[in-house]
Amino acid sequence: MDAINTVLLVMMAGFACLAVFLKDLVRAALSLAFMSALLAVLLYRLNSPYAAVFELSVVAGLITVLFVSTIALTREHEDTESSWPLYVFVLGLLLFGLIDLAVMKALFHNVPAGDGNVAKTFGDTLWGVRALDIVGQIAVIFGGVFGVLALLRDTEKDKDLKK
Amino acid sequence: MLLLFIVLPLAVAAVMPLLDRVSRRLPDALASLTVAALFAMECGYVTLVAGGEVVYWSATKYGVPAGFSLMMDGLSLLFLVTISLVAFFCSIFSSTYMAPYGKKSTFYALLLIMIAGMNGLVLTTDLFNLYVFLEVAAVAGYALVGFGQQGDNVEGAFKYLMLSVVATTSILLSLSFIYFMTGTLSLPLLASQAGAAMNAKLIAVCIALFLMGFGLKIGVVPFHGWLPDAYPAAPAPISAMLSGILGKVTGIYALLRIVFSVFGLTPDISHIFTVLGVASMLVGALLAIGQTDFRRMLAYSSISQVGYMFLGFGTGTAMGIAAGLFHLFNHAVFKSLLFLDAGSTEYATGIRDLRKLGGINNRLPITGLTTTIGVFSTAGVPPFNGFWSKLFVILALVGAQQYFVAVLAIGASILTLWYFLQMQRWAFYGKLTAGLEFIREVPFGMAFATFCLALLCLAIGLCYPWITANLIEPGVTALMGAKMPLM
Repeated sequence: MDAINTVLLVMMAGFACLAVFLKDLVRAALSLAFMSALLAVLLYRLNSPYAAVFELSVVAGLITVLFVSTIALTREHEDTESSWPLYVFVLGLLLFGLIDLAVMKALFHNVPAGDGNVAKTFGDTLWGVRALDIVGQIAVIFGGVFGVLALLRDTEKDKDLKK
Repeated sequence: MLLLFIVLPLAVAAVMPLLDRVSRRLPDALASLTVAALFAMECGYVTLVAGGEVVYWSATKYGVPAGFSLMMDGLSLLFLVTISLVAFFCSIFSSTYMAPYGKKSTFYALLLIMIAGMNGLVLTTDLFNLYVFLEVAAVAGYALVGFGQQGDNVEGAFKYLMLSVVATTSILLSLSFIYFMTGTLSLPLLASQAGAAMNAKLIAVCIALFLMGFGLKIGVVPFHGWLPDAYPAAPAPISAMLSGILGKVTGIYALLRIVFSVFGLTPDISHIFTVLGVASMLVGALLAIGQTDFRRMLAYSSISQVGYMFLGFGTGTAMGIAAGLFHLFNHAVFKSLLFLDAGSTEYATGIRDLRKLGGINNRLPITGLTTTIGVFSTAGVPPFNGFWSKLFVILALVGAQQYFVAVLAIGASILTLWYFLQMQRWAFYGKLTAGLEFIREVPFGMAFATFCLALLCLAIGLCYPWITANLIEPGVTALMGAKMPLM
């Protein structure tokens, strides 16, 4: 059980690194989608089916489609890949593994797990416990939308240059 | 109703793009009015909170089918007032300054989202909510730093984004450890069982992660690498918001709340605060010397001033914490003023390199005067506000028998005066540089904002007993008083 989760975690970290390091944006977006899919599997295995479904449908599905469509519409040229991120990733993973083995495992074995504040249903959790998060999430979405509008629209200087 | 502090700016932000089509001036007016309304609401709570009351708001009490609550104590109110004060003058300043940068409605929408995020952060009683609102403010912050920028300036926004991601990851990791140990992220519940169900080693890991995460947000040495690039890259009002309040709310408020409510201020944490404070105060001041970019100099100065706050908190005494909070409030005022003055200078001359300026004081009399007041406040010259808070920090250090650190604090203050006088000499005094003969004072809105902030520096300095009694002491009581009551 633990071994499968560990393998999933390592693969997730690998795809996350690829998403950051790959120069080809389509490949980077697909790596991110794989990472999200693996996270969804992991969440499901950890008894969080609602979170798994949202992760799979929204992040791995919808957001990937948005990314790939946007890249396809805006891409002008191909970038060649660099091999150094692979070395960095392997070294980083080894370092993480060593720290994990040396510190975290020893710590967690000494700690009693908390009772948890687990609600019975998805609705109870969302509205009864985490309702304020929804306000925050709405604000984040607004922030993202306005951020895209702010950063991707033409400024007065751009318009002057185009003229 | 405390929820209004979050919902009102968010609702106005949502309709902002529509207002742009009605009138181009409407977003300017509405943004300033919204922030003024928030400030007025906060003023209404001052007497109540100064009297020792803690205001609660629970969704279920109002028939809303949601189980969350908000809380306003002295510390929350101090930060809310500071947010609105700085944001109000930044908003007025932006009405003219931001015109060439693009759609102002989008700018104000992001500014209001940032305010909503910060308000939510200081009012929430749940650590995960705190993280969510921290992200709200940060997402708006990334977009605002890069707003209307091109080329090298985008690098600052990107650096800010990347390091903030590292910061939020370590904060989230630490929160997950706390949840793992205690099964709750509710601050009152955590305060009631402080340390009981926690493993000492894992607590140390959590504190280290929080210090790194919030340290990056604050820009305290050694986590300051992003700050001198991000502050100069952003539009001037956003530099003022970042330096004046965003770093303080997303970093200092969150750190203080968690340390005092969850772990308690242990001698070890006090010692770390003192070390971080000394390092920031000295490194920031030394790096500011010789900077020729006005805003980069101010960025390093901000790092140095944050050091004073940490020195106050590090003493662990009521006097020290009061001094730290008072310096935080004062720094928000005088550093916002200086960043706006830097924006005014750039707006009038088109130049940021201080060596290429010279003798502009006669051409920009209001900007020159307000910059001088801001400089004196920062350097701790009486009777301006910075003098009192620096004096309190030094007195608190002496009271805690940290004499050597007190001497270092005085020395850093002299360094501050040195680099700012150098800046004044380069830019405002001496012979007028050729080509600047025809520059004129900035438009009314910009001059009004800087003039009011300069007046505040003087007024706070003269009325400091009222400020400390009504805003600072309730903040200290909230941190050092009884544990947070269970709702």
